[in-house]
Amino acid sequence: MASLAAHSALQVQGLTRDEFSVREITDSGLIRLQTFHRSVGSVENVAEALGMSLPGPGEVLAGDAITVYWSSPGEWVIRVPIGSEQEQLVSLQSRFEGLFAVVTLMTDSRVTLELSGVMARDVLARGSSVDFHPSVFGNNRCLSTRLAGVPIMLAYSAQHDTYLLFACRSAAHYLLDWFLASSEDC
Amino acid sequence: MKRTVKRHEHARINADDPIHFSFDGKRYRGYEGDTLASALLANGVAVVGRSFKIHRPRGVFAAGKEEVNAFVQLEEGPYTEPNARATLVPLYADLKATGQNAWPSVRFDGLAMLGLFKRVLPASFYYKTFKWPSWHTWEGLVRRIAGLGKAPSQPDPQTYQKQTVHTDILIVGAGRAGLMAALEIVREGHQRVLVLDEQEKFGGSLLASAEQADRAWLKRVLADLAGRDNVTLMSRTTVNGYYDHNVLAALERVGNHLGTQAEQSQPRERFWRIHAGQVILATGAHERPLVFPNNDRPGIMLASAIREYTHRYGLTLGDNVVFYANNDSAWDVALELVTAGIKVTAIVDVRSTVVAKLQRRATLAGIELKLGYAVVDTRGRSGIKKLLLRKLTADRDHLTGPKESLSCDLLAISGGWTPAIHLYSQSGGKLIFRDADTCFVPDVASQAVTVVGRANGEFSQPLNLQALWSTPDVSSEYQWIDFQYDVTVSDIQLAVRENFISVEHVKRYTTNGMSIDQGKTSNVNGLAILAQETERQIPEVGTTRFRPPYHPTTIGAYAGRELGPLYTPGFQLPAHVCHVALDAQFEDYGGWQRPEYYPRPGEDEHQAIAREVLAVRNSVGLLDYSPLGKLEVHGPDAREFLNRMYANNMVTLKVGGARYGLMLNEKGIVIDDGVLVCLAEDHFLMHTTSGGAGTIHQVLEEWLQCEWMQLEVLVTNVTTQWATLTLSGPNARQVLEKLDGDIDLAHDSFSHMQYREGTLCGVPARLLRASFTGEVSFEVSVPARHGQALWEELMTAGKNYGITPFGLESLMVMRTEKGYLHVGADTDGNTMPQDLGWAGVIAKKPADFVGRRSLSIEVGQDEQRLQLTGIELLDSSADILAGAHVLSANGDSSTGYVTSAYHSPTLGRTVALGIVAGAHARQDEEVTLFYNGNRQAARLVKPGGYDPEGERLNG
Amino acid sequence: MLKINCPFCGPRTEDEFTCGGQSHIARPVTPAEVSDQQWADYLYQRINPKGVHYERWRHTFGCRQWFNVARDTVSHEIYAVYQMGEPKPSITEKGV
Repeated sequence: MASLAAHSALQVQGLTRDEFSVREITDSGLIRLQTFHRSVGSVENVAEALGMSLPGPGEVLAGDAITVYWSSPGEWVIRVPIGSEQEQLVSLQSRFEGLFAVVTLMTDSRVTLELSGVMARDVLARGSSVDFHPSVFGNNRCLSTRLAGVPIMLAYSAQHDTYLLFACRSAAHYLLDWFLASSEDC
Repeated sequence: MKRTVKRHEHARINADDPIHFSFDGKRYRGYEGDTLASALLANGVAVVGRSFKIHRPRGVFAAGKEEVNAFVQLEEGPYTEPNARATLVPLYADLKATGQNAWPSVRFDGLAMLGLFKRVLPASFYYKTFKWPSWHTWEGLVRRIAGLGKAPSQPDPQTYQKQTVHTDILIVGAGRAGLMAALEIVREGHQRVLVLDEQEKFGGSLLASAEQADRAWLKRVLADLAGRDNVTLMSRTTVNGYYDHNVLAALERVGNHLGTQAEQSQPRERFWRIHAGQVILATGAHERPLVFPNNDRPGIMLASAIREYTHRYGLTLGDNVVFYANNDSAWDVALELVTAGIKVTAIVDVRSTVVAKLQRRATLAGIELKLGYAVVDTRGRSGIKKLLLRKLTADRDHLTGPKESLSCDLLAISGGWTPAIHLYSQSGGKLIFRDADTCFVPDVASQAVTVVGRANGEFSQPLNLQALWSTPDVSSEYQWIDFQYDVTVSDIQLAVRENFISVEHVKRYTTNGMSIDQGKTSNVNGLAILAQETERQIPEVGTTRFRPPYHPTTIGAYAGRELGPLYTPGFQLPAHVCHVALDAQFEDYGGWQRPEYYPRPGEDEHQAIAREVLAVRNSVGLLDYSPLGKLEVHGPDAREFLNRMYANNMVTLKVGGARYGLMLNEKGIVIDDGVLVCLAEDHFLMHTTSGGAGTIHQVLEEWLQCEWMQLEVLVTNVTTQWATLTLSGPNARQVLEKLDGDIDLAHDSFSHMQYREGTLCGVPARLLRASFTGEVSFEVSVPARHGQALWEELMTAGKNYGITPFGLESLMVMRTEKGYLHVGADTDGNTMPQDLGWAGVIAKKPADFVGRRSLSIEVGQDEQRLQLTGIELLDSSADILAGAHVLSANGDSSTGYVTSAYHSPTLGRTVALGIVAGAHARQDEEVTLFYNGNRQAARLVKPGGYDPEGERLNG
Repeated sequence: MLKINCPFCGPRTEDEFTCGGQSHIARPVTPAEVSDQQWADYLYQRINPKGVHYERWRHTFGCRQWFNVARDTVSHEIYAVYQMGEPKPSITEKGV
């Protein structure tokens, strides 16, 4: 019997308008890294084992083939190429041997979307009350909030003026329906 | 009402762009730039509405949102909008409007005879009348007559949007004061500036100015501001509410001015939530009417409105204009009209002395002056024809001298000005009463807000006002205060006689200020008259509380696009596509779209469920159980922590073991149940009720972050990382064995309540032998990306066993057949573990846990507590519904209720659970059930009835 | 609509948070040894001040962290935001 098809069951239908577009990013694996930050030195130890600085609140830091997003104190989301997610998971687990650090795969629970277009900030402002102006939420910043009631993590890249959005995959269809309805004038 | 044959040259209308519209079935012509009101006035339409209670004929009274009479039903069918104020509706091509509250038309209204009954229809008449023989006798009639416009009966075809905007400075009002504030701000170089104005065009009262200098200034300033990147100007946007922390709400009319022709891709309106660093309110002031007998006739208008209609819309509203005033601002308007070539016959002023300069100019302009007079009556039912006046005594408390008369076809009135301090008040700012101008002005602010211009009581010229709140020595019956709701001075007097003297009570008793204009022209007059009637000073009476919205807001704007399927987030299962393909009947369970059952062609709900249940019991079924909560708990203190969170002993749970646990809150109430699996000494997998993972995750984090901060524990919610499918039935193992895997599934190797990890078809898999059906069950979890494929594989593998997809309803039948409780269904907000028979389990646990202390309080030890029990109907062919009461012995009261009840296809009868007072000691007792008037005999039994020894389970 | 300055995420609107009521209430160390009345006080007794209230808030839809807030129950002014576990700051008329 053959292996189960790695079927991305909820392949998301994107959306393209003149001033706003949404497309699914399918090449990312996501790993949650947690450490008991109340222990003195725990975060530093983890950073050292990881071989790079860990971002502080609201920051995004890019490392060697990985990008790290701050999620909450002692918690980060690590983005890796999807093909190497298992390898990365194992590698991280071994690096953190002896430390109280937990790595958990979360690729399957998330959908990753890229939002672009001049109206992207306006559309986001229709589902969240966060200030998305680049002077406040600028390059390589990330945050967690709710969009139309769905918890999301958002990161901004000034390079192409795009947003990366991580949300629960089970809500992907709802989010896309919402984007569709909320961008009719775009 | 005089028809305007030709508009004044400098009118702000486009004479090259005529627009046709209809009102009450008649066709008229107006121009681009007109409002419906200005266009109707231009066409000489005097009567545009009927008053609320007694159907008096009414004409246009104001030029903006102070309008109290000209309410129309705009458009029809799905686009209809009731109570649209004609002064606020921009004229658009083919606009269709009809008068309201009148039959057959506003000009000839059959119910006008209600006016004859005014004396028996005073304020709050409905508390005293229309009661015999029963108020229901009158209800139908009153409902037909009451109200103004007609609510739409078809769904709104247009859409609305909601959006948040952040700004450093918000300026509300782009009249002179607001624009001057904006200029100053941009000079200071602030980051983001947002300027909002409620009108179609910017300029506020500058738009009503005849001065060329004003027009030039406006043009220049707007161009300056529009050219700045950091300044956003929005017209057609009314700021509606001022909330805490400088958050405000505004409504933008995106497409209203286009009527039914608006583009479908644009929303009709947009509701803005504004976050402002600082707010500047330049909201202006509203002119007040004077209160005198029959002051509500068509042709009686606010002086400032007449000014606006003359200069902005280019109308000539009368040939014989009279002014009635108590302050200087009205005189300026009179003089402007004369300059515009309009005949102003007289100015009647309650003040016996007026500034000499104004008197001189008026006399030079040919205006007769009647100083120290009060109007005592007006004549002209469908349009004013004349007014009667008498001199006032020096103290203005009485009339003296003979009645005099003045003919007129337009009466301009001005009783003073009321700064628009609504938003300021909503922000928590305090007001202070300024005697000289008889108005409330801002005093001490409580948020980052400044008020400028007339809203702050800064009038460009002194008003020199002297108050005359109503005409003395004449009947108060026909002196109108609130035109819209037909509230007269006599109503205030009635309220006071009945001892309603608080301004809030008087407002509600008389309905003064409760209509669509929310008292913009009636509040101050009302409270001033109340002050007089109760011999108090105005500040002592105070104002009623200002609440949002300042202006009527379409309900759809609050909803935005979150309607219908977008109303609330919905979650789909990993194998959703499969369930759709199987024609599943979906239902919303805690936000998740889950199959209730899978009906085959021709089956109804009961047949489908019965088939599914029997298929599982006899062979094997498959259920998508993915929303089952899965939390991983890590850390050296994980075991200790979990032992504190669960009611049962978890310190003894061995690696690889699984134990069903109950979780309580600190009050001892059961909040969740689920299987805890020990994966390693410092690693546990916690299962929670489907859809409850988020809640329990929060509970755990609260304890770890607030109370037990030193416990080294990390919790991760992996619910949606894993797709979980439940394979259940005597052939479950056989089906699972057909898949490639490295887990030993044999009966002796993998027993009930055990957990295994490995691979299945080449992907990581977690298997738990837990059962909610009572048959051998495997909860199979694989990474969610494989969920759909796993479903398909299992369905294929199970084909020869007749594998049957089953839904949650079937699951509920089976678990009830086994007597398994469902937290939230069989437990309520008072259920403690001892009610579920857990007293023994808890007694064996030495350690403290959340909620333990609450179990031993008096009420927790009461033997008559509602306890979980099975309920069997004596008539085995009958059924019962959850919610049925278990009656006390004397049948007087309820001693518990049925919590779950289903027809059991397995046992051929109803199975039911309930919580009943003292049930544990009352087993086999006969009871009576009561539901909706019907009684049934039943017996309290052990929960369940199917496979009580659990033999099937351990297969 | 309150704006709360989450110590990690910065200012956010009230609807991202959950209020956890009065703060600085310690759980009895040995519940078995307290009286029914003391236990009931722990569960239910809460102050209701007109003025500064020290309360717990959780940034539910952000970083999920609990923290403390000193809020005026009349004006909703927020005088201070401080970490869970820190002692309450003293609020004078002028602020912290």
